[in-house]
Amino acid sequence: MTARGRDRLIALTLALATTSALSLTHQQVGYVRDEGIYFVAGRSYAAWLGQLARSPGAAMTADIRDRAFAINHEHPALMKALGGLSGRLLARPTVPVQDAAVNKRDPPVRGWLPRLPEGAAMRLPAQLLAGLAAALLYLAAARRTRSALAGLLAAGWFILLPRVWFHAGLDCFDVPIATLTLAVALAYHRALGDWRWGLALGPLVGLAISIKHNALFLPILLGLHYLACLLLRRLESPPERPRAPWGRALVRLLPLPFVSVAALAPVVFLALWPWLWRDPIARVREYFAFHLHHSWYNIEFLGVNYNRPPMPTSLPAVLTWATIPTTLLALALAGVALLLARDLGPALRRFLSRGSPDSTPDAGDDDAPAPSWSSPLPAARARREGLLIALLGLFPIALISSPNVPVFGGTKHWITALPFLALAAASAWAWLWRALEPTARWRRVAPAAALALVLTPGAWSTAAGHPYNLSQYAPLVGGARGAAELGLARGFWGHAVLGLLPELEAAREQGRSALYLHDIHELARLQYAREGRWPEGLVPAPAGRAELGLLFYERHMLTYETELWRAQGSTAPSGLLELHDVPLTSLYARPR
Amino acid sequence: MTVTTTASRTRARVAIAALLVLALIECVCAARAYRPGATADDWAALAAALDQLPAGEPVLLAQPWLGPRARMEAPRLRGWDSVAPPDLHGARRFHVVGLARARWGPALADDSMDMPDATYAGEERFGGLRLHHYARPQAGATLEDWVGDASTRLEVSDEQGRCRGAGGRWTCKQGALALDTLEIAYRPRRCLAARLDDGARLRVRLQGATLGDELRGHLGFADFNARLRSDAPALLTIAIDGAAAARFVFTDSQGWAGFTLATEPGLHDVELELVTTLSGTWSADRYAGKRDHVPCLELRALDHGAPSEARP
Repeated sequence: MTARGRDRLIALTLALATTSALSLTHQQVGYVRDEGIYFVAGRSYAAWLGQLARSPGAAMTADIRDRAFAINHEHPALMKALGGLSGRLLARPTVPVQDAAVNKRDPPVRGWLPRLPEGAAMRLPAQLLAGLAAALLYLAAARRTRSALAGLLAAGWFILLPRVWFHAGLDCFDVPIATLTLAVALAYHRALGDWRWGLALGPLVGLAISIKHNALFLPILLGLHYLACLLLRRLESPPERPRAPWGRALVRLLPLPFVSVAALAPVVFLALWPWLWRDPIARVREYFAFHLHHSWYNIEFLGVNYNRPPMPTSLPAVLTWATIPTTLLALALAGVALLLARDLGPALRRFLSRGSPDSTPDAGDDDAPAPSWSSPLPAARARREGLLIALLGLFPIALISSPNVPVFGGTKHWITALPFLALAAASAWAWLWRALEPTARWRRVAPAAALALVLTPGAWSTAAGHPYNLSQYAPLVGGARGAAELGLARGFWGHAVLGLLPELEAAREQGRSALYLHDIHELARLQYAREGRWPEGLVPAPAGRAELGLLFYERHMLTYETELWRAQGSTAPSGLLELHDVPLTSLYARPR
Repeated sequence: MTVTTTASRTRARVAIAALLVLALIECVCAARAYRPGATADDWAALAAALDQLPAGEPVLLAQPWLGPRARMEAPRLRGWDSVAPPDLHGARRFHVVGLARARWGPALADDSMDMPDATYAGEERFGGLRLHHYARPQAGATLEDWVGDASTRLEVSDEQGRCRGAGGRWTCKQGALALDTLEIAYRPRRCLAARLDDGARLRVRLQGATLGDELRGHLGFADFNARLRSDAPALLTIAIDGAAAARFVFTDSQGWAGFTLATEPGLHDVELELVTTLSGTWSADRYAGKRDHVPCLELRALDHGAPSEARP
C-alpha cells in the first residue's frame, strides 16, 4: 500500500472510530440548554425541507418559510437543519409529551431507519464533523511531517481533550465550526497554488459561516496571512526586475481565492439560511446586532464571579492551561515557536542584516511556476503554512483575552484554535524525532510508545470525566477537585442530570410531581420526555411551590440553592451527582 | 556539520526526555486526581464522630464546595451554624472537616477577621476525610443573637407603626422583615432581610438585651443579580438605651460588611434603624421598584474582655 493510501485508510478509520465512539458515549451525556432549542429548531427546519420536497410552491411562500425558520434565528440554520434531517432518518419513535399544545406544535416523529434515540440521531451530524476533524488533522499533520505518528498525535491531541470530546458529541456548533475552520485553512493553503481549490474556497467559507459566526473572522485572517506572505517574500528576496504595473499589482493583491470568497461565500451563506431570504439586509443586520450586543452571563474565574466587563485578560490562557494537559500544550507552544521561526526567521534575519547575501533563498521556489492570479503563491514554501497555523492557533485566544469580549461559554469560545495547536504540536513532534535520529531498533518502538505516553494524560482525563467533561480539568490542576479549590467554573449548561433520573422516578412514584428544574431548559426536558426518559407526571414548578428541586452548581447559583433550602425546609440534598467529590447537581426533596 | 547534528540531537534528546517526564508526572497526577477522595464509609464514620461533638461548637468545612455531600451525609453539618455562620466570633471551640490535607481555607480566614490565629488541637481521620479541632479562647462568647434565640423577642416597626408578625417574619406597611438565609457575596448568610419601599425606615428593637463588651454584626446585600443592577446604599443606626451609639453606611461592594461597637455589659435596650435608599433595581431601560435589592443584617452581643472602639 502506498503511503497516501495508508494515510487515507488511517484517516477513515479515525473518522469512523471518533464518530462511533461519540455516538455511543454521548447517549450518557444529558442535553445542554442550547440543544433543547436546537432540537426544536432542527425539527422545524427539517419539516420545512420535507415540505419543500413534497410541495415546493407552498414551502417557498415567505410566510410558511419564515414560520419554519423563525425559531432560533440568532444562529444560521445549517447544523440545526442537518440535525433535524438526521432525526427524521434515524430517530426511534418518540412519544407524545403531556402538553397537547406542544405535541401539536412539535409532533412526535419516527425515523425511516429508527436506530437511535431522537436526540442522539440529531447529534450525529455534529459527531460526523468531529470525526472529519480527526481525519483532517491526521491527514494534514501526516502530510506536513511525512510521519503517521505525527498525524496520530495531531488527531489525538484534539479529539482526546475532555472539553473537545464533550462539545464534539453535542448538537451544537462549536466543534463543527472548529472542523470547518480547519477545513477552510487547509483548502486556503492549497488554493494559493491550485485554482481548483481557489474556486472551492469560497463555498467552503460560506459553509463555515453557515455554521457559526466565528467563521466571519476567517476572510480577514486569511487576507492578513496572504499579505504577510507577500511581504515576507519581498523581504527574503527583493525583486530584481522593475515593479509590476499597478494593475498587475492589484490583481496580485486580490487573487482568485479571495475573489472566490468574496463572491461565493455570501451566496452559499444566503442559500443555506432561508430565514434571510425575505429581507436579507435587515435580517443579516439583526443577526450581527445580536452577536455584537450579546448578553453577559456569569462565569467563575479564580474564585470571582464575572458578569460584566472588564473580564480578566488572563482568563483564556489560564483556562487553556487548566483544561489541556501541560505535555500537550508544551508541544503545541514549541511547535508554534518552530513554525514561526521557520516561516519568519529568514525574512527577519535578512531584514535585520539589511539584505546581506547570506540569507537562504527558498529551495522550493526555484522549481515552482510563476505566480498568477489563479495561483498566487505556487511555491509551497512561499505559502508559509506554519505562519497560517500559528495565526489561527493564537488568534481566537488573543481575541477572547480582550476585556470587553463576553466569555460565558468557557473554553468553547476559543475551541477553533485547538486544531491548529494540534497541528503545531505535530510539527514539533516530528521535528524532535527527526533531530533525534533514533537507531533502527529504537525507531520501531520508541516513537510509538512515546506517543502513547504523551496522549495518555488527555485520554485519561477524558475517560475519567465522562459524561461530565464540561467540568473536567487537567491532571496538573488536580482535576475537578483542584479546579474547585482554585475557584474555576464547574459547568454552565444544565446537562448533568441523567444520573438523577432514577431518583426522580422514585420520587414521582412516591407521589411528588412538582420539580424545580433550575438550569435545565424546558425544551431539553421536553426532549427527554419525547424519548420516554423523563418520569411521567413530573412537571416543572417554581422553586417556592416545588416538592423536588434541582440545583446545578456555579458560584452565582447559590442564590437559587438558598431558595430551595427555604422551600424544601432542608439544607440536605436527597441526591447528588459528583465528579471526583465535586458536586455538579443536587436534588432536593421536601421531607414528607 | 557533525557538531551541529550532534548538538541538535542532544537538544532533541533532552526535549523528548523532558516531555516524557512531564507526561509521566501528569499520569501520576491523573491517578491521584481522577478518583474519589472519600468513600461512603468515610462519610458515615465522620457523621458518627460529629454527632459526638458538644452542641454549640460549630463544625465548618475547609472546602465549602464539599457542602452538598457533607450536608447529605452528616446531619450535624446541616444546621445554620455550619451552613451560614455570620463569622467565627463567639466560637471558642470549633471543628473543621476537610478532604485530604485541607484543614483551613479562605472562608474560615475571612470569618476569623479581627482575631488571633486559632490553636490547632488535633485531628481525627476517617479515610480520606479529616476532622480538625481548633480552640480560640479570645473569640469570646455570644450572649445574644438577633438571628438566633433573640429573634423571638424583636419588636419591629416602620414609620407607619408597628409591624405584624413574629417567629422571624414581620409584615409592615412599608415592606417586610424576615429571618432568612440568603446569598451574600457568594456565601450563605443567616440574617434579617429587609424588603422595604424606597427610602423606608425600619426599626428593630430588643428590650432587655444582655450585652457584653461588644456588639458585632454584619450587613450585606442579597442576590448577585440585584447587586449587579443596583448600587444603592443602606444606612444603619444603632441606639442603646435611646442614645445613638453608631451610624454606618453600607453598599453592596463591601460584601458581607462587618461592624463592631463597644458596649457596657448588662441589660440594655438596643434599637436598630435601617434605612434603604432605593430598593429596586435598574434594567437597561427602566428602574423597577420591586424590593429586589435587599439589605440583610445580623447582630450579636459578645463578651470577651477589653472593650473596643466602634469601627466599621
